[in-house]
Order: sequence, then structure tokens, then C-alpha cells
Amino acid sequence: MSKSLGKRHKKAETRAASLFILPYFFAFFIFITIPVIIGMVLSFTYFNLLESPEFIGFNNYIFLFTSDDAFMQDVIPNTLQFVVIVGPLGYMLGFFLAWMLAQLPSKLRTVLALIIYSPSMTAGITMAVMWRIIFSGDSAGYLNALLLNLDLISQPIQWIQNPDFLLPIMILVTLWSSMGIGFLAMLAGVLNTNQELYEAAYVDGMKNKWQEIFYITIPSMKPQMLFGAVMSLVGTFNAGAIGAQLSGQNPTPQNAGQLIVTHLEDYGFIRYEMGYAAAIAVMLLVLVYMFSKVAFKLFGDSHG
Amino acid sequence: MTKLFLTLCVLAGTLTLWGLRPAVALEAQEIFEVQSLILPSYQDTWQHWVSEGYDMIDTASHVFFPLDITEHTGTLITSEEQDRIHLDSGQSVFIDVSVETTGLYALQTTYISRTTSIKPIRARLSVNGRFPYDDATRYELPTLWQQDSQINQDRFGNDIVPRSTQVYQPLSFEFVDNVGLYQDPMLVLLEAGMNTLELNLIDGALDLLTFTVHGLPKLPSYDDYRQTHAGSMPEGLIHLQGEDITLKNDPSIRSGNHRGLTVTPFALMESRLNVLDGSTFSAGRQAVFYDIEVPQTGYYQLSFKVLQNGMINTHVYRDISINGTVPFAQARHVEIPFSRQFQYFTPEHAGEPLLFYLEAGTQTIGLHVDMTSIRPVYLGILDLMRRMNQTTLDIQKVTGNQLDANRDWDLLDYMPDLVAELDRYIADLEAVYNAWVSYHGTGSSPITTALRQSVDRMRRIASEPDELPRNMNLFSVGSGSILALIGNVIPMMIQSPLTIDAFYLHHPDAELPSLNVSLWRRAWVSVQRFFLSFFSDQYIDTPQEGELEVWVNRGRAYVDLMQQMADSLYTPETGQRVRISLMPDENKLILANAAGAQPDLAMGVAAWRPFEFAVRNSLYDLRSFDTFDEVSQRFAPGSFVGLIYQEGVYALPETQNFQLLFYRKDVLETLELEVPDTWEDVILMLPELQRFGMNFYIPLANNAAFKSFDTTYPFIAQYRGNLFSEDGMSVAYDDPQTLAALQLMTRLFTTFAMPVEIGSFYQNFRYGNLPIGIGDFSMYVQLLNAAPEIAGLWDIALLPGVAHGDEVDRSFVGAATVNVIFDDSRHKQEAWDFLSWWTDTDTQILYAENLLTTYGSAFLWNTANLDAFLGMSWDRNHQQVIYEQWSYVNDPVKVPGSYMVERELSNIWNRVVFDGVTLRTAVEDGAVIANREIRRKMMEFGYLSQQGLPLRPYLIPDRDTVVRWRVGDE
Repeated sequence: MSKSLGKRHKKAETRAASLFILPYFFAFFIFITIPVIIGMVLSFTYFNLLESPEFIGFNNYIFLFTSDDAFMQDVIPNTLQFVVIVGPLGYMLGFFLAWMLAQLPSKLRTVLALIIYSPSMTAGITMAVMWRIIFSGDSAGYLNALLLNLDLISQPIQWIQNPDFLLPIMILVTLWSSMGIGFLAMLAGVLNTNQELYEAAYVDGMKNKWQEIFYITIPSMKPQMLFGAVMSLVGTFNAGAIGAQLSGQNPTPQNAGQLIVTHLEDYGFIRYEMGYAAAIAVMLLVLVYMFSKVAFKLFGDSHG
Repeated sequence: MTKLFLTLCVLAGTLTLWGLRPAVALEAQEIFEVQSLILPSYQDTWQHWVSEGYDMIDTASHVFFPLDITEHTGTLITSEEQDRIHLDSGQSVFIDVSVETTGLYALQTTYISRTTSIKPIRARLSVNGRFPYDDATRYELPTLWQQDSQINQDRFGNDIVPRSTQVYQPLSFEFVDNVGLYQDPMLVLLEAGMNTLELNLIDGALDLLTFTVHGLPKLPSYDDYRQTHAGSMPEGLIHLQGEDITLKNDPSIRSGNHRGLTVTPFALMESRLNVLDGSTFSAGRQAVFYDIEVPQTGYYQLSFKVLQNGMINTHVYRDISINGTVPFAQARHVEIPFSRQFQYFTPEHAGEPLLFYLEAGTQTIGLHVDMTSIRPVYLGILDLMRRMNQTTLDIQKVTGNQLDANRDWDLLDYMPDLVAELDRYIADLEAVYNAWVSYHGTGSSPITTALRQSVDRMRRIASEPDELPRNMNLFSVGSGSILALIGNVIPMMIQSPLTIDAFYLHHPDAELPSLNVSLWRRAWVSVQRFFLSFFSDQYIDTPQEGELEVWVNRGRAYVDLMQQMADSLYTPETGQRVRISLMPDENKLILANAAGAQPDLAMGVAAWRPFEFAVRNSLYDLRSFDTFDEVSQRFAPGSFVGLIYQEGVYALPETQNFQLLFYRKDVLETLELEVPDTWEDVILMLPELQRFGMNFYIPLANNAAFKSFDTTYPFIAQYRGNLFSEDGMSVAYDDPQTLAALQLMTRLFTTFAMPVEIGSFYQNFRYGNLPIGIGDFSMYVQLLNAAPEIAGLWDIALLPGVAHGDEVDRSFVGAATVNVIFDDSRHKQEAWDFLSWWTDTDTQILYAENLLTTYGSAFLWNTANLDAFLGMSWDRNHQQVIYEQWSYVNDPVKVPGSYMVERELSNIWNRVVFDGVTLRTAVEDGAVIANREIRRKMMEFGYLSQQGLPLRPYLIPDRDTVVRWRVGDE
């Protein structure tokens, strides 16, 4: 009797839970799952946006790996460089900022957290507008004006037209805006760490804050660390549009800031090859998946 | 970093080369002669006269009526009511005036405009056979305009800006300058005895009524004015709308819409013409006139409800006139402070509001833009720029133009006066800054910042005068220099925008409507607007059955007028209703096409797009229409090249861009340089220009890293090189003629030291360091409308080209916008009929004229229709030049993948000019990449098999293909 009652209760609970998750499930299914599946299907077709798609097997992928020079020579190296720098650095910065904020009194912490979080909320284009003023190539650009006034340079530098500067600037801008949802999660993680653990550890002979971080804080916030790492990776791979926005042209000057996302847009909207662009998108998905696997390896625990 | 280094190397290299040329020393004598050829400014002349002790004459008055004028080349028209002398452009009147005393006299003339153009009449004046100063060579006599009182609405209920018509009424002109720096007439020096004045018309036509030589008229003071008129102060408040102007002296002035809550009339959703648009009422010497019914004679206070936020932290000034004359001195130069909100402003004197004496009946109140406050700054900057250019030349004489960063100079040994000179610059820059601040306050604005920065930088330069050769970038060279900073101030300074919502004539105690809006009302209106926007028709663009759907990628002004013309002219004639919608983004066409929701007809589409759509079978071939051959004759054959795909033509040209050679007449005359005819000539004139720190601009030097076909292809076309092999399957960068073109394109920069990166040719052209160069249509419009300080000093000529025997090929890329019909449209024939009507010569002329008279002279319509272009009221001489240049239009051929050819062409140029790669290497590398893309695209569209074997031929059209088709069909 009690068993079946419990069972029924559990059933009801599951039903309630499902009902709660239903709206999100539908939204996720319609706006994420279906487009991803369609994208995967399109990657096996020739689709020029104006006529109906045509199935062409693996040709897009064959071209991607054998003939697309820009992809292999510029896009992949740029993207890896971008991801390897921005991902871990942004991640570490996020953790470090979160940990420092956690040491502050709560009111001040809230204000500062909001300030640090805000760049990631503003839309990419708004950001690009601001940064373009800062890095503007004439003497009225903020950075140029500053350097001119300090006598460090004698004539303005073409920051965002010059291939040598574009990628570093993209990295800087992306780092600045990378304190997103992962950062908030880590902040929550640091704050949620059981304070008793610290006390206990000090009793056991822990000497300084570094030990605190490595022996207690990080191990006790592994889920948040993992979440932060994945978010940071996904965000970084998708942040590529910043190059085209900054330099105002796609492809970026001499492919200097060409990342997978911009390369994809070049093919999709400039060369009208949506099928091929879909193949690139699938590659992007695979890359993101591989990198997040690494993140799982690093931070995931047994149930991660 | 390497790139930067290489750039510097190339730069240093070219400069070194240049320095090694046999040095032609510029003698001081030579410079003096060079300058004496340019006429002095009025300011200098006037100061010279004052220092010579000439007085202003204030008593004499000699009035000449047409019958008194014995000598003229115009036509005398005698009639009962008024005698007139009709003058056309080129004709003159000669006034023989005998004065008693030698001194400075003022001039004035009354005339009726007879010009049909929307541009002001231009004239010049000489005294005893000489122009007294440069301003006398380019007077602009205004014309009077009236806005149609009938305001139509579009189908969404929005007001449409009405057009203006010229009013032929007598007008007075007092020989003032074009910028409006001088309030008082410009004076002329007349010797005692007989003097001959010649008024020569350059442009336009007029009927001269009187010509007066007299003493400078003085305005009474306000106190005297109050004494002369005795009157009470009638009670009450008379309200007039700012947008209801009776007359204006410039057709560009127009009413606009402001969504503010206190603006009258207020509309929640529709766009009402409810203010006088400040951005159009902003240039010196513009004026608007209001006729007002005054109920009772007496003194009235005037209050204007204005928005003065166009120029941050800058005051604007207006003069107030009653019935054409400024009643007293204090009604001039009325200051209106900056404010982000609407404000009331009441002309005041010593804290008391000014009262204006108005008689009962219709009175005309005029508001005139007053620019006199900028005079000291404006003239100060021009003078500084001239002197700084001179100093630059002097320094370059010593240092020999070498940019050796490691070399120390003892410049003071060569130029002992330099310290004093730099101190003078500091003092003068400070004086300019103070003059500006004394009028406008120290509040931060782009102008105050630029002026303050230049003072600071000059101080820093002056602290180490020996370092100046290394600090030339700060001083006068390049976009960060003081010269550029102050040069950029000038175009900002000559703007004085003021938006007027309403004005009031009232008793000093009368209460004006409140400008405060409660937070509650503000919020309520916002909420209403937000929710009503969901139901607005403006965003629903499903056409009704039988309606032709047209999308136009162009501003609202253009679209409104098109709809109006379609409704009033096309629909009544044919019964076909047309629905013209604004397409804010062309990419919408792709998505609409994918969704099957494309319009029947799209207009204003970028010219590169039809080809991309055509190869993917979504456009309709216009050659299938019977009347195509006839319609296509309206356009230059070269405009079709980029619109052809195989046997079809997939778009009809709509507007045409053109490239022209712009040059400063004054500079070229001074340097005794001819307008170049070929690139050889250009190369020959470069050293002479560069000797004076000037240069030649070609569009390749714009500051985008990507050089489009517009900038690269003309060279290839002029050399008659090919872009593609005959079968169209590969690029022909290595075609000997194409290579020759590429060589010229790169050597102009690597060997002949043309400037590599220019932010704005237009600005540099204005301040003279690029006195000659290639610009396009927008440059032409800008120079016509926004560069009053060099009006009449510049001209256009045919592009320099490449000589082939006796003939010079001046090809250029003129593709601008086109019209396309979609393949899926159910109204193809109707769309074509509409298009035929729209591109018809008469329709195009009418549209162009309507645009000009409705929105003003900045709205030049550069139609692609050849005959219509000739029928438009542009400057005749310019029109001839443009028309001739037009015959050289030669757009690049399109093949699948040609965007890669364009990209690689840009890369070749960049690599040679910036990275120092040899042309051969760059060309070979570029060809590999471009060829691969072409082959790939050729496979995609079925011209090559997957194995790369030809399946069917690809047709490469040329300029004559359309013409041949026409002949073949017949």
C-alpha cells in the first residue's frame, strides 16, 4: 500500500517536474535542436539561399579539408590562437575576479560584480562602436591621441586596419567582455564554499590564502568551475564576429582577424554558399565539443 | 609590427628618392610672386586701406536706375511700372560713378531673379577693371522661394515635405561674402572723380532694378528706436508655427518632424511636419520670412520656441528683420545658447526684452543666420594655415625632405627667426581660441577641444624648436597635425543650426505655454507609442491584390516622392496601382527570396547584386521584354556590362556614379600647372606639387584596406587590359596590358610618392594640401553644397587616362544602383511597364526637379538616363564635362567568383605597396587563388565538369554586347 502510494507520489512528482521543464524543452527544441539538425543536414547539400538545396554528399567537407586555403592557413591558426589565449585567460581572470570579489563586503561586491558583468550583457555591436572610437586610426582615436600626447608615437597607428594589430585587439576586447554567466557562477561557487572547511584547515596547519584557494576553494566549487570553463569555451568560439565588426569588413584585412565565425559568414552571406557555411558550422560544433571534453576531463568529477 | 616597419621603410625610401632629385631651390622671390598672384582677402585689403588712412564715406548716395546705365551687354526692358536690365550669365553692366571724395563706399543692388535653377545667382564685381579682393570674384545673389501650402500625406498618414517654387520678387543684395562673415556690405575704394564698376554675371539670370553706391548705412540704436516710435504695448499673445514660413532665400530650408511632447502640432504616431528643421536652417546668409497679421499697432515682444542642440556647447546667432530691414542694432547678432531641450528665447538688451514696433496689418518678420561671430576665428585659422604651410616649406628647404629619425638638427642656426615665429603661432592660436571662447564659452565641444589641443601641441613644439624636423607630424604633415586639427574646425564652424517650433508676438507680461511635461504624461506617451507600434500599418507590407509591389533601398524622402509621383501620374494613366515600400536593408531581398516573399520589383539595389541573383536563377531576364532594346538605349552601354549574365540582362541601371578629376583653380593657376590629360601628365606634375607640400589624390589611397573594383579596375580598363581569359575560366592578371596597369597603380605610390592613406579627400581638397585628385558624385555634391569657402575656386575635368594613339582612354567604373524584376513575380509585365515609365526621360527629369525643389540642392539625382541627365538643371559646364566623362563608363565584367578576382587585385596592390613584394610574385600568387575560386564556381554553375573539363562556353560580355544585340535583333 505504502509502496504504491510512494510510487504514485513519485509519478506525480515526475509529472510535475516534466510540466515545469516543458516550456523550456519546447523552446530549446524549436530554437536550438531543430536549427542544429537542419544545419547538419544542410552541410551535406549545395544551398545558395535562392534556390532549393541539393544533396551533394561529403563534398563540402572534402573541400573544407583539402582546398580551402584560407580555412587551413588563416582561420584555424587564428581561431586556435584566439581560443587558447582568450579561453584560459578569460577563465582564470573570471575565477580570480570572482574570488577577489568574494573577499569584499556584500554591498560593494554586488556593485562591482554588476560592473564587471555588464560588458557581456551589452550587444556586440554596441561594444564594437565603443572600441572603434578607442582604436580609431586617426589622431582623434582615444588610444592614438593618448600615445601622441605622451610622445610615444609620432603619427597615428592604423590599429584596426593593420593586420598586425587586429588579432591582439580582438583578444583584448573579447577578454574585457568575457566576464559573463560563467563568472557569476564562479562567484556563487566561491561564496557557497563551506566556511567551516577553512577553519578546519587552519586548525590543521594551512598557512596562507594560496593554500586556501588550491586545497579548499577550487575543489569545493568544481561544478561551477566546469560550468565556467564550458561557457568560456563556447563564448570564445562564438565571439569571432568581433573582428569583422572592429575592422568594418569581412573578410578582415588580409584574413588577419578571420575566425571560424567570420569565415562562415563570408561563405554564407557574401559567397551565397550556405551549404558550405553549414559544414563550417558543424566543424565549429565539433571543435567546441572536443574542447569541452577536455574541460570535463579537467574539472568534471565522477558524476560530471 | 613588421608591416608598420615596412611601411616606414617604403615611406623613407620614397622620400629619400625624392630628396635625391636635383634640388630646385625655391627662392624667396619666387614665393612672393606666387602669392601675389592670388587675390588678397577682403580682410587684408580692408586692413590695408585702413592703414593707408582711407575713410569710410557715410554721406554720399548715388542711385542708378536702368535708364541711367548707359553701358551694358544685357537687354534693356522698359515698361510702365518698372525699367529693368535683363542679364544672362556672362553679361555685364558697367556703372560709371563720379564721387567727390576718395574713400570707401558701400554698394547695393536690387534685382529680380530670373534664374530657373535652384542655385543662387553668381556674379563678380570689378572696380576700374580690377577685382578689389578675392571675395569680389564670387558673390552669390540669393533667390526667394516659397513652400507649397498644401501638405499631402502618404498612405500611412505621414506628412510629405511639400515642394518649393521660386518667387520672382525684387530682392536687395548688399555685396556680402558667401560664408556670411561680414554683416556690413563689403566696401570698395573709389578715387575722387570717375570710376567704373562692372557687375558681371557668372551663373544664372536676373533683372537689375537699381544699383546704389553709397555710404555705409548705420542702424539706429535701440534707445533711439524706442524714441522714434511712440506706441503702447498691446495685450495678448499671437502664436505662429515655425514651420509656416512664407518665404525663404534657399530652397534647402524645409520643415521637419520632431517627436517631442511640447511640439505643436503634436501627433502620437504619424510623422507631422511640425518644426522648421534646424539642420537645413544652418548655413550663413540663409533667411526665412514669416508674414504675420498684426491686430494692433504697438510694441511687441518676440519669443521663439527653439531647439538649439545641433552644435554641442556652441551658441548660434540670428538677426531679426522687420519688413526686410533690421530695425535697430540690437536686433542683430541675437545669441541663442545651447540647450538639449526646447527653450524659449527672447531677444534681450541689457537684461530687458527687446520690443519691436509693428504696425497693424501684414508684417514680415525675418530671421537671418548670422555668422559674424566666427569671423576672427575663421580668418585667424585661414591665416595660420597659410603661414604654417609656408614655415613647412622653409623647413623642408633646410632639411631637404629627409625623414632621418637619427639625425639631429641645429635648425635655429639656419632659421634664427624660428623661435619668434613659433611664439607667434602660440599667441595666434591662443587668440583664435580666446576669440572662440569669448563667444561660445569654454564648454567642451569638438571645436574648443581641437583649438585647445592645437595650442598645447604648438607649445610642445615650441619648447624644442630644433626638434621640429622630427615633429613635422605634429606640426603640419598628416592627419594628427595642428594644421589638420584647425583645418577640420572650419567646416564645423560654419554650421549654425536652429530648429524652430513656434514663435510668439506678445505683451511682456503674457504667459507663454509651459515647456514642462509631467513625468506621468511622458511615460504615458511612451507606453502608447510602444504598443501602437505593433498595430502600425507602416510595418505591414503585404500588398493588396493587383497592386504592384516595389521595394526601394533609399531614404524616406526619395521613397515618399516616388510614391507621390506614381499615385498622381502613373496610376491615373494606366490604372495600375503601385505600392512602394522602403527597404532598409538589401539583405532582406535574400531572405525574402528564400521565403518566397520577394517583391515584384526592387529598386535602388547595389549594382553588384543582380549578377549574384541572376546566376542563381532568381531574377527575370529583361531582354525577354519586347521593348527592352528601346528602353536600354536610355543608358550608356558600359553600364550594362556588370548586369549581363550569359544571354540575359538582369537589371536596368537606375543611378550612375561618376569619377571626375577635381582641381583647385587657384592653386593650379598659381603653380602654373595644367590640368593633366594622361597619367604621364600626372606623373610630370607630381614633383611640382610635392615641392609645395601638396599632392595628387587617387581613390586607391582611401583608408579602407580593401581596394574595390571602383578603385582598381579603371586602370586596367584604361590600358585596355583584360581581367579574364577569353573563355572566362581564369584571370588574366598577366595580360601585358593588365600588368602595365598594375605597374602604374603601384608605382604611383612606390616611386612617385602619392599619399598612401587619406581619410578624406574632400577635407584635404578644401584646405588645399590635395588641390587635385579623383573624386566621385558624393564629393561633387559635397563641394557644391558644403564648401562655401572655396565656391568658384574649383572645377572638374575629365579623368586622366592612358593614350592609345590620338585617343585617351578614360574608363571608369560607374556602377551605382539598379532595378531588378524577380523571376517569381506574378506581375512581370506590369513591373516592366512601370520601370519603363519610371526610367523614361521625362519622368526622371520631373523626379530630379521635384527632389531639388522639395529637399534642396543636396538632393541631386544622378540618374543613369543620359537624356534626362542633360535635361536637368545642373551647372551647364559641369554637366558637359560629366556627360563626356560618362561616355567612358566601363564596368568590370562579372563571372562566377569574380569577387575573388576583386579581392586578389586588392591584395596584389597592398602587398606591392605596403609589403614591398615584387609585382610579378604578387600577381602570380594572386592568380592562383583567384583561378581556384573561379573554377570552383564554374563547376558549381555547371560550366566545368567536376573533373575541370569545359561543359559549355561562358560568355564574356563587353561594352558593346548590348549594342550588338540591339542591332542583331533588328
